Amino acid sequence: MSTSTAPLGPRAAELAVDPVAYALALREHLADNSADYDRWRGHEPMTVAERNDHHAALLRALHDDGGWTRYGWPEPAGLGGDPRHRAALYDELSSAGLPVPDQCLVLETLGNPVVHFAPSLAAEVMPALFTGAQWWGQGFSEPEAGSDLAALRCRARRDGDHYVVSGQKLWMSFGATAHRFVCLVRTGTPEARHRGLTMLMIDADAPGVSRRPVALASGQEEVSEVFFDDVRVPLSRAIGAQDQGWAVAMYLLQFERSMFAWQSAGIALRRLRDLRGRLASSGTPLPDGTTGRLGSTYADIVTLRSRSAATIRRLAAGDTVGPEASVDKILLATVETGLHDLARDALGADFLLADPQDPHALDSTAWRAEWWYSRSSTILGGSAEVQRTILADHVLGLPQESSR
Amino acid sequence: MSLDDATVEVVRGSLREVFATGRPVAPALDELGWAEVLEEDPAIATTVLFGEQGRALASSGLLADTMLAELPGYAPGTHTLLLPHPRLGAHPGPTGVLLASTAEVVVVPRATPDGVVLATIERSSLVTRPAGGFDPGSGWQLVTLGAALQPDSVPVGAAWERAVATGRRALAAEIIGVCTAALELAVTHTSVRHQYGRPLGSFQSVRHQLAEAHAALEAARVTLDVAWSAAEDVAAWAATVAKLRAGATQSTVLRRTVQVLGAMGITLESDMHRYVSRGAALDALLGGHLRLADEVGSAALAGADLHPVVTI
Ligand SMILES: Cc1cc2nc3c(=O)[nH]c(=O)nc-3n(C[C@H](O)[C@H](O)[C@H](O)COP(=O)(O)OP(=O)(O)OC[C@H]3O[C@@H](n4cnc5c(N)ncnc54)[C@H](O)[C@@H]3O)c2cc1C
Repeated sequence: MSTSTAPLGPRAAELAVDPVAYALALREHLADNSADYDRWRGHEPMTVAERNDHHAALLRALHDDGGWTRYGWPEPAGLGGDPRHRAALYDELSSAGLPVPDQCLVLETLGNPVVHFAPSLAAEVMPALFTGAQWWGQGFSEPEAGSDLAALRCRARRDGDHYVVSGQKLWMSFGATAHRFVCLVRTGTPEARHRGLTMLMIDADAPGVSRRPVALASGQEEVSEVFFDDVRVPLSRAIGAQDQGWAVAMYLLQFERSMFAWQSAGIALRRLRDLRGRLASSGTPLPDGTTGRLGSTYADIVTLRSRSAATIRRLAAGDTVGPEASVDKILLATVETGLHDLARDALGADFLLADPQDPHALDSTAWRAEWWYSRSSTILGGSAEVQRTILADHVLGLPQESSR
Repeated sequence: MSLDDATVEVVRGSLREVFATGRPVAPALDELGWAEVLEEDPAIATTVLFGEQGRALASSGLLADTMLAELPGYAPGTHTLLLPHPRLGAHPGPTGVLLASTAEVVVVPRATPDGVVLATIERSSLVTRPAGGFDPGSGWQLVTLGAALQPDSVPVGAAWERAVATGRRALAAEIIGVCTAALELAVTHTSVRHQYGRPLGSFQSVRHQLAEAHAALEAARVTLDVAWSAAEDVAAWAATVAKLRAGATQSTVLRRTVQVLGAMGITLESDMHRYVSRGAALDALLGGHLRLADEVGSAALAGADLHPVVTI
């Protein structure tokens, strides 16, 4: 399982054009080699950096024994196919009781614009993502540009055949371990707002880059601050044209809102099964209302799967997904908050008091960390409020907030 | 095997007219050649039909007819089905509900240790009283049955589960129709009415409440679509989830649409109250959303497969 030129199955060409055949073949592979994948079942490493490596190793295993991570991405880096292949990969992993490698969350967000707007760059940088050798971070938010992304100030000025980047990004997932960043930077004036932005890929090891992990309330260092001090970035690292960064960001949102939702729904169903197993065998009476909440959380997950699958099918058919994707995001947040609140309430004292050092309490400790992370589902990538405003403006056509 | 979008719009338009005139639905459907439409694409046909019935706040025996179609041997028009009392979810018992139907023969389901059995009874021999209550427009009659099983009872086996699943999908569509109309009314009202010198719909709280209503409606729609296309072995389970979802949606949507109409929303002057009470009545048939959530949760705790239902 460790060669770098991965053997593909004899049916690669057939699987690349048929997502259903791909899903079945992958299911068979995961079942036939189940024991090889056991190390990714059960408890996850305690720190984010260890978890990143652990998940990278899963990508490597999937890549090296059949090229499974390359389907759904265009050639030459990928093997061809469409977003349904990727959706099937995430789903089959969840059904097999395996994690969806965290790196795939960013891959889905950032891979698509790179493939679409910078195909030759994609050919160069994407293979390392499929093997788990590298992963990326998304640099959009800044201290003064959260919900109001178009207020961002991290600057890039042209200097010959380079951009020179100065400024700061904040809240970057994988920021501490990522090998490259995809950043939205200001190439125009601040007054130009969203018209003066450019998307750049910046190497994490470029001179002038420094980073500082930020711990969530769980203690997990899920995000980072990243500083750029006159970092030189070749023009060839622009994703899309200069000053067209907003359009690239909007393109990316289609995938962020739907594929992220689909991944999360698969993971949520796996975790709900775990929780159900624990509650069913707990032997103590469950808190009032637990049974109904279990049922409605399951229904919420089915709804999220239904919606995100429909959106992914539209993407696969070449449709553009617009503001209606905010519905997907709202349903995702419903699942994330509902599932984790249920776990917190139903596990009760265990959730509250489990000792992180206690090897018998790992499950409760994990639920606790996941509960904190679940709070981000109404914040990141456009908050709950921002999504509602988008629907009110662009789908319901209500009068604008500023109108008098 | 499936209707194209243009045809669906034509069908929808005809149905809207039928319901708007308030004339009896069954003969009007015959005139439209409904049987063919239904055969061509049961999912879309049923969804559009019940969606329009919901939007129009119409009451009919269509739900019973649709369920009877799953129970061989009964003719809609001549027969109607006694639905389980809302107190019983989808479990037949000693009390039930008759929908607004003129059929003379009532098919009565009864639960036995060996499954559901059906008997037919002359409508005239049943003790009924108008349901009235929260939704006076429902046209329902409440029925209390005598204790004895009818001698001609026939076991229906899995067909009862299929009939319930069909009924749940139809009810989900009708609830969606009710909520769609309520949301349209709320959007129109808040776009037109001004307070503090600006339209109500420009206030963020109002906007967000209606956005949540929209998201809930979309959730119900897509879950229903999935229930229609679910594989046979999970069809009943998926229909339960779709009904649960639609029931929860009417609670989310109507709570918000009533709020943004202010005092008008709780008067007899506005139709809003009719959407609210119809939504509640439809939710209660064949299992309200809270009851279904409990049933699904109990099944889960007892080890039922938490099926993914949707594949890509
Ligand atoms: C775990 C996690 C991971 C993240 N990963 C990344 C990443 O990888 N890359 C990246 O670029 N960013 C990332 N983010 C940042 C995320 O995108 C921002 O947090 C988000 O855009 C919100 O910005 P903010 O936190 O500054 O909140 P603010 O914008 O300050 O908002 C605070 C509150 O005010 C509300 N609010 C703001 N504006 C309005 C308005 N107009 N109307 C009504 N309410 C409003 C918001 O809804 C929110 O409730 C991550 C965040 C988290 C929590």
